[in-house]
Amino acid sequence: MQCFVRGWRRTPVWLGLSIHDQRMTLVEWHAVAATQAPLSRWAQEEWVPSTQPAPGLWDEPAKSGATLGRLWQRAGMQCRRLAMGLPANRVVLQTLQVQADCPANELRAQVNWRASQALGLNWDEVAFDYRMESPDGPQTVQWLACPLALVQAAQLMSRAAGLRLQFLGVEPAHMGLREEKQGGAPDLLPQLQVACEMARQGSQS
Amino acid sequence: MTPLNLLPLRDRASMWRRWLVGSWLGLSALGGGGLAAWTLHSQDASKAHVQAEMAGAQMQLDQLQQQLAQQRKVQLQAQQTQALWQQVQALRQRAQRLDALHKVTAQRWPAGVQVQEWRLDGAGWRLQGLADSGSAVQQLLQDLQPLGPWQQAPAVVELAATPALSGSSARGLRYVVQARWQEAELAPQARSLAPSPAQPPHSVIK
Repeated sequence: MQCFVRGWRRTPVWLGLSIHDQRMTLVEWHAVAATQAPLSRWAQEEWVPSTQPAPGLWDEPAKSGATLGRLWQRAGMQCRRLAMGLPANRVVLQTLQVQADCPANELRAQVNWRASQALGLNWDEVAFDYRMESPDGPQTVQWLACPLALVQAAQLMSRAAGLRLQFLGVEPAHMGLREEKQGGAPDLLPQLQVACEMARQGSQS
Repeated sequence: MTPLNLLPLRDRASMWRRWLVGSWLGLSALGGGGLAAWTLHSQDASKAHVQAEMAGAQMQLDQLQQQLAQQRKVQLQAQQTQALWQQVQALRQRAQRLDALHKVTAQRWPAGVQVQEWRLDGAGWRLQGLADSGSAVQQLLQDLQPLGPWQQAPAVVELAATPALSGSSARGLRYVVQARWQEAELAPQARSLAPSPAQPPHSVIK
């Protein structure tokens, strides 16, 4: 019982992953106080595409998963709880006004329908999530959706790496990942920041 | 505000936590139930053990009571046998005494003392007859004296002259002598083994 309580109260550890172009950044992130360093380990892997144009993560999830697994082992990480984000240009983020007394299943159906309309897919080919923006104010629902294939590809990659994907959100667009330097490769620090941000969001989910 | 998560509900961290908590609660309930079941089982086993011990003790008590009743029965039979033996001894002694009394009277009869009636009542007896003289009766009493011990020594209770009959001898004294031997008191069981009251309480020999 004490062991269980100790383990339950232990600081949650998450793995944050950021993938852009052919560079993968993995961090081990602790949800601790501000006086302690939240980042204990990190590693980065870069691979050379076999074909031109280079395939993305979502085209070869098994291969990306193998690379992620090697990266995880090389960094000597223990945690297997993974959080990652999709690029903002691959998801749809919108709001929806609903009645105050709208049932939960009706709200879910509405979000599902709107997501399928926005993505141009069938209702069972989309993955989505939603939340009330302000519980006390008007009933505004913010919903996020993406193709279900992307979620399945991320899960396949995680399983191939031997990790447990427990959070799949959206990468923050304001961190300037798309701003490439003159050499063509993205900067290291924004990728680390994105990976840490995904781990932090995972710890709050 | 909770971040939006595109994973299915079953794969989310919250689900993992719920599953973990649910598993823990389930295991706790299972363990608690198992513990309760084990406790009840052990209590039942203890109860059964105590009941078996009580049944064994009760059986042993019944056996002891049966043995006690058997012993009492044997003791009663032994007491009855003892009483019967004592009565047999008393009867034998009485028979010996009567035999001695018969011999004494036979020596005196028909010369001097004639016995006409011999009445027995337990340890007591009564002789009635004719005697030639008072000295002959006195001699008879002296001869009877050693046949004791006596509770009531032989004594003449009646001595009277009788009219002489024609053709009879010269005996003219009618005497009655009675005595009672001293005998040990018989046990109640022995009394019950004695002849029933329907029978005559004494015998008369004439």
